Amino acid sequence: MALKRINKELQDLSRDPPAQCSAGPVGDDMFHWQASIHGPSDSPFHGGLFFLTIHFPTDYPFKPPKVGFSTKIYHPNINSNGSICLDILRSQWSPALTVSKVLLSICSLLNDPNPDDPLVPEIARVYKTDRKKYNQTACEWTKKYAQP
Amino acid sequence: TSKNMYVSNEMAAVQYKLEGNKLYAQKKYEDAIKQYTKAINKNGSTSVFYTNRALCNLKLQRWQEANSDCKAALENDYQSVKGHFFMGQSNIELEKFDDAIVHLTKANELAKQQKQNFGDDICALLRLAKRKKWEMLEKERVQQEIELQTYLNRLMLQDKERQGELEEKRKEIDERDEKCGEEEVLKELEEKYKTRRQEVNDLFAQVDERRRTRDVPDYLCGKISFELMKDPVITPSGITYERRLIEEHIQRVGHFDPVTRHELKLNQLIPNIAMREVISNFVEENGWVEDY
Repeated sequence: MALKRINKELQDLSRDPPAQCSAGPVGDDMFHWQASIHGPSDSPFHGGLFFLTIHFPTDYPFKPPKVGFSTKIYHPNINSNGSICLDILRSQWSPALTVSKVLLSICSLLNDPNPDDPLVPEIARVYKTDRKKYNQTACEWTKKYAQP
Repeated sequence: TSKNMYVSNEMAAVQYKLEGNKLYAQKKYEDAIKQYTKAINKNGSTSVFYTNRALCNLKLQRWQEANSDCKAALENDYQSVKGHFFMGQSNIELEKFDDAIVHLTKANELAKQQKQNFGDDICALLRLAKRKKWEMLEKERVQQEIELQTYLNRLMLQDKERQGELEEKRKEIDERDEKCGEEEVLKELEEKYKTRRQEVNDLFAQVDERRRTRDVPDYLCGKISFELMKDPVITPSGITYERRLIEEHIQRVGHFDPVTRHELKLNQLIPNIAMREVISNFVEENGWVEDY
């Protein structure tokens, strides 16, 4: 079931790829993918190319895929390990969700951080109190770590 | 006495069968067949002896022999699940797909009635038989189309040539007619021929293309498996899922509809009969999905 569904998702992704995103298996192992996201144009991540790793559990889609950034990024909900704090990847997962929908959600998380449920409190604090500095740092990190 | 004779024959037959079963377990199919044959010689009216020998023949890919054994088994006991099952299997190999479908369908019914558990084995084979039948028909259809296309192309060419000859004759009779030059008419004929040929060949190419780009429409697929559904059920939110998977979701993930996230309980699932009919109709018309 898991493998068939992952294959189907890959097929759908190649037929109708979501804007600004791409994803596919790394090697022969269909349960291990790499994805990339272009920084949204109206965010400080604009111009950056961010890579992510995706691991599917064997009981996918009843359990969510494990998704993490492999490119460093300055964001209140993403820590230095690349872990992402996103409800649909944890408690709000639904088997009707797909990699494509998850990537789109991550895109909108880049646009709209959620500082009230932060993974990195310090970045959340800067985001809330000094937006200019937040944008500046995020932009610098993007130039430094996420150049395509 | 004759009764004692009968009993001892019966017992000897069973003994041979047990010997055969032992050899079968050791994958010594040839030797097992010899034992089953001895059993049959002692007692020719026990269906199991034949089905056991049929299975050995299947293992040895002796389809015709397996087929004859199944026939004998069914003559002695028409309710034998294995008789129909192995008959279906050998029929597939002998490319008698219609017969295979009949016997496998019967095997499936009987297995249910007799509460014998063959897992998905019978159904899987039934799907294989249906798909093979469809593939055979499809091959015939393709062959017929190619022949028709070749025939039409030849006809069009002949028609063009005949009209050209007619035009030459007309010219000979009326040599002074210069309004409509022969060359011009022939050119027109050539053009017409080319257009027609293109149209016919395009039409056949379209058929071919449709055949190549086969896909199960998303609306026939469950929202969890993304696959063609077998037992579709609908939720109060109006979303349709494969029963097995939505039940698993409710038990393992949570009491909500995966798409709408509205509350959902097991007893709220309703069979979506209309969807099931659409799917079975789709499968019927698209034999290539049978092994799905």
